[in-house]
Amino acid sequence: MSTRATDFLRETARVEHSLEDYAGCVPRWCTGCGDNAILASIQKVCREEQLAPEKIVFVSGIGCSSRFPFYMGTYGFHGLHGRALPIAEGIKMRRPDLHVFVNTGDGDCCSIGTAHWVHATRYNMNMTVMMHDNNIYGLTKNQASPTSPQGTRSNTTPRGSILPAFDPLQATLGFSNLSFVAQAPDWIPDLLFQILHEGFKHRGFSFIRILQRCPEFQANRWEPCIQNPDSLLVLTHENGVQLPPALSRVYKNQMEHDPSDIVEARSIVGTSEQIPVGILYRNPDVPCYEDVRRPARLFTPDLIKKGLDAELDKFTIWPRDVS
Amino acid sequence: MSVELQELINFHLTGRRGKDTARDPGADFCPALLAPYRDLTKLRYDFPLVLLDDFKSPAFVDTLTGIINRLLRDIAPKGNAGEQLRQQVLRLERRMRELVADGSDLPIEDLWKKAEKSLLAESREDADADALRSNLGTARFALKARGKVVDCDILLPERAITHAWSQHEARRAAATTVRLSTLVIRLRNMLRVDDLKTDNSRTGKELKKSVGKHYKEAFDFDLMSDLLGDSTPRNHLPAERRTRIKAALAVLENQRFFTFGPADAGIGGEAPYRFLFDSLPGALKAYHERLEPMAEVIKAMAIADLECDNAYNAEKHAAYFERYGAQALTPEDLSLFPSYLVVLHESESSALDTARLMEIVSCDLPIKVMLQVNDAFGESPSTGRDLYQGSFVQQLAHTLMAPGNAYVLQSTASAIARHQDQIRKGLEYEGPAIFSIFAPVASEAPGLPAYLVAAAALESRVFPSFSYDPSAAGGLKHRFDIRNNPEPGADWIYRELHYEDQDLQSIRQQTAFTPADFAVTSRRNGEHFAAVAANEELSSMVSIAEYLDLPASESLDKVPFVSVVDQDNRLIRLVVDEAMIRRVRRCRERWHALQELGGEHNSYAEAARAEAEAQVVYVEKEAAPAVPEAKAEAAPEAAAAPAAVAEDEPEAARSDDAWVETPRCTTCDECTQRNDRMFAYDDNKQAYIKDINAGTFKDLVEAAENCQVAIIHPGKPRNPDEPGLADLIKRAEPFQA
Repeated sequence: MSTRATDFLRETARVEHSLEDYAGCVPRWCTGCGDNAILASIQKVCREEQLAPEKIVFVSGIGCSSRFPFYMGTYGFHGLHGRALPIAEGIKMRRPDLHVFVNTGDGDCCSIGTAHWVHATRYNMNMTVMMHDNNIYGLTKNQASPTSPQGTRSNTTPRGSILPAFDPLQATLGFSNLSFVAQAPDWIPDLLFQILHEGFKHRGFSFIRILQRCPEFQANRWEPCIQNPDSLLVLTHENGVQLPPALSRVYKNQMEHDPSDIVEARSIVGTSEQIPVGILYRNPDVPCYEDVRRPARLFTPDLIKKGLDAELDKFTIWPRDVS
Repeated sequence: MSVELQELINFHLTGRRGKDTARDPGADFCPALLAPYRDLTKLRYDFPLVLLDDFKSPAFVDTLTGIINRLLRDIAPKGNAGEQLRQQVLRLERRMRELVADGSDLPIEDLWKKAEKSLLAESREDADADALRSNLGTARFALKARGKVVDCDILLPERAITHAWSQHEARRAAATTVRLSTLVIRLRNMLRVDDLKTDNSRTGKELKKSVGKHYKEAFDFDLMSDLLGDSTPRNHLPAERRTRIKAALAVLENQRFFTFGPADAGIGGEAPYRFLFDSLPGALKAYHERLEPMAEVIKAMAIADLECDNAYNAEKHAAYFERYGAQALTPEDLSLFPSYLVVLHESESSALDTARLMEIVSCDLPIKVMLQVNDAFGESPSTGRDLYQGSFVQQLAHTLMAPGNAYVLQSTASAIARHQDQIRKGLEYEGPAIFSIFAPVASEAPGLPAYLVAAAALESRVFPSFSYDPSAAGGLKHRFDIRNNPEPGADWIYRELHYEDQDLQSIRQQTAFTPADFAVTSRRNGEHFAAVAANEELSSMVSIAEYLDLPASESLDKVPFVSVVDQDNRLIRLVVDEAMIRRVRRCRERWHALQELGGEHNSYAEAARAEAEAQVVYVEKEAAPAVPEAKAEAAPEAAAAPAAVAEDEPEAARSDDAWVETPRCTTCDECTQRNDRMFAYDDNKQAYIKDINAGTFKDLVEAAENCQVAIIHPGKPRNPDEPGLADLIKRAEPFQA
């Protein structure tokens, strides 16, 4: 709620933000790393929405992806391995006015941070989560991650990984209180931008798995997909994403999918021979935890002091003559 | 013409009585149609009301009957036990109604306990008494509603409207104070952070204050001060900004429009403003005096908002704030502040008040006026007993609706609960609102409950209900509403009058309830009626509704009457004089005007419909049925149109120059790191060829080979002398468009 005067004055002093305003340090990712594409796309989302850089927080865990906050000219929090989500939830709870983004990797999210991921989905706090899935631990130099394809040879699986790859989409589509799930390839910038943008606009927990190239340790993982556009199944809908004509000619494998249909989303993820990309599920009606738990009263310093005093008084040992 | 008839006609025409005929009614009569309802405590109806205490809920009032109904639905099981509970709670409800009629003025929970105690005292100490105690206790425990129970009386309009206004303002205050408190906290924090950066905050003494008393001896605070002194931040708030923040904070802390929580020590110096008035001059004076302080608060809020968002730009904003004053306040700004409520009683209002009301409406001031009308058949203030003019106050609501910018509600005390949505809308409306409510004076209608008299005023069209909501979109149809009147399309309401004649034969007769019937409820109108004994009734006497519909030529030898009952419940006819007839006609005309505004028998609409019907008849007779074929012929051409839309053409073939599919670039840095003079990023951070001459064909081919998404197309070599060209051309082939 703001007055007309405030709105008018804010408008008169409005600063047009360019991509440079969202740029932080020079990225140190490997040349050809898909993280560069993700960085460029999310910066474009910020520019598109003209977000004030001081109102943005990028939170990350540990891994290549988690260097993200350094490269954004915004607030950031480089957290502990697997703990990006609880940190982001704390920030959102205390400062719901901030735009919270989370960058996490396949190891960070699907291994050590899995429990946080499950419950963050259930809490449905308004944030955009980018899960950079390069199918490998890259920062620590080539160890198999939960999403590594079966048979991946790495420093920890020299004879090839034994278990089939974990599918983050199938898992997420089974979580309670889900509100937004999408999958995006980092090598189709327009699609990546659209999906990230839709994720940002969705009010709730937007989980976006990004298929990310790692030229160093998984150089051949997505190469066949890049060379063969038909290996992708682009999910389009008037309420989802739509490909421009130029891309439609390249990515002919398209399917009309209503993002409100979770049954079809599960079916696509579980049975499709192609890799589905687009918005799988979106439900704007799921309440956000920060809204549900918003205190009825404003926590003024005096109110907090009064509450603390009341709590501490419970442990007061009164003199004997006072009952 | 008989002598008796002549006498009655004389009374009817002159209002003067003869020596032996046309007796003064004298005693108190009750309109015949109201007779069965004289003791309302035996009935379940929409009174008493409970003025609900929960300000967070939009409902401010509920009926006791409604509350009990919902309670029983929730707690009474099916079967005998449930039926027993239901009967006992309904007994309690009746006792509560009796207590309220006797003047109890208690919150619902206390009234319940009082009624419960009274019922238990009457019951014998046996199993039934135990069940009664148990059931009433269970029901009382399940009772959720809280608030005072009030009956329909002369105090009700003021109590109900004031209560609704208080609830509404509490909601508004809750929203605005959260905002003000947030701004105050944030501004204080900004100053506090700045204070913490000063050298003074790092003295040993200040540092000691920030440590718990148990550890005060554990540190050398002076040494700590020396250590921290070196790292004192230097980025202080600029002095000008600090002054600005402090000034805004002082305004917000000392404003008198809202009270902050008692925990917020230091906020609010002087006593808060009051917004409830009993006179228009007081409200207008307060409103005008508070405009500048209001503007100061809005200004401080705007500065605080901008400062908190780091968006204050002195160069652009200072001049604006220098000139900002009361004249710049907008309705949106005013809607943040409490509205003013003025309670006016008809008996205390004057002609000057009418002028002030017009000022409020004309100037669109956010002042709500509750005008209590106690005499629905009142007299003109200028001409005294000028019955023909009718009550001026009664028409005031209609008059104030004319400018079109005031919310207006007219109704009676008996219908307050039914109008709670309209009352709430009026209070929420940004501009002026007028609530004109009729509540009868008890002494004017002895023996009749106030509820019955108020409801009679509504039913007889003497004080019809209507609302006008200027904020509703879509014209008069959506703004003006008369639907809360019974049978809004009819002139009068007809009810069945059931009585026995002299031969004890049961007779049922549809009888209109007119303003003349309503007039009987007031002693002051006795002079306009003459009682006719049953043996004096004449065939030329007609009911007043019939009389009003007669052509003038046929009414000359007719005498209009209304049916009443006396205290012994005997049906009597009262002849009505011409003065009262004129007043009835006037009421009907005013009702017709309201009907027309409300879309009932609208003359424009009826004329348009008649014209349209005439047109249809004409078309049916004259027009030829050739139109469908003509349309059918045109259809194929129209259907073919979409096929003519050109398909999306592929992009034009590229020339032999090198090029990059920029929209598909994934910003991987591969090409830009290879040759950043030849390749660069555009505004979207996607690659393009910045300078083709800044590198060789070899650079282009290698960039194409290393581009992961294969979007670099080397084209043809520009320098035919470049070494190894044949091999490069071969390598470039897979990447050509």
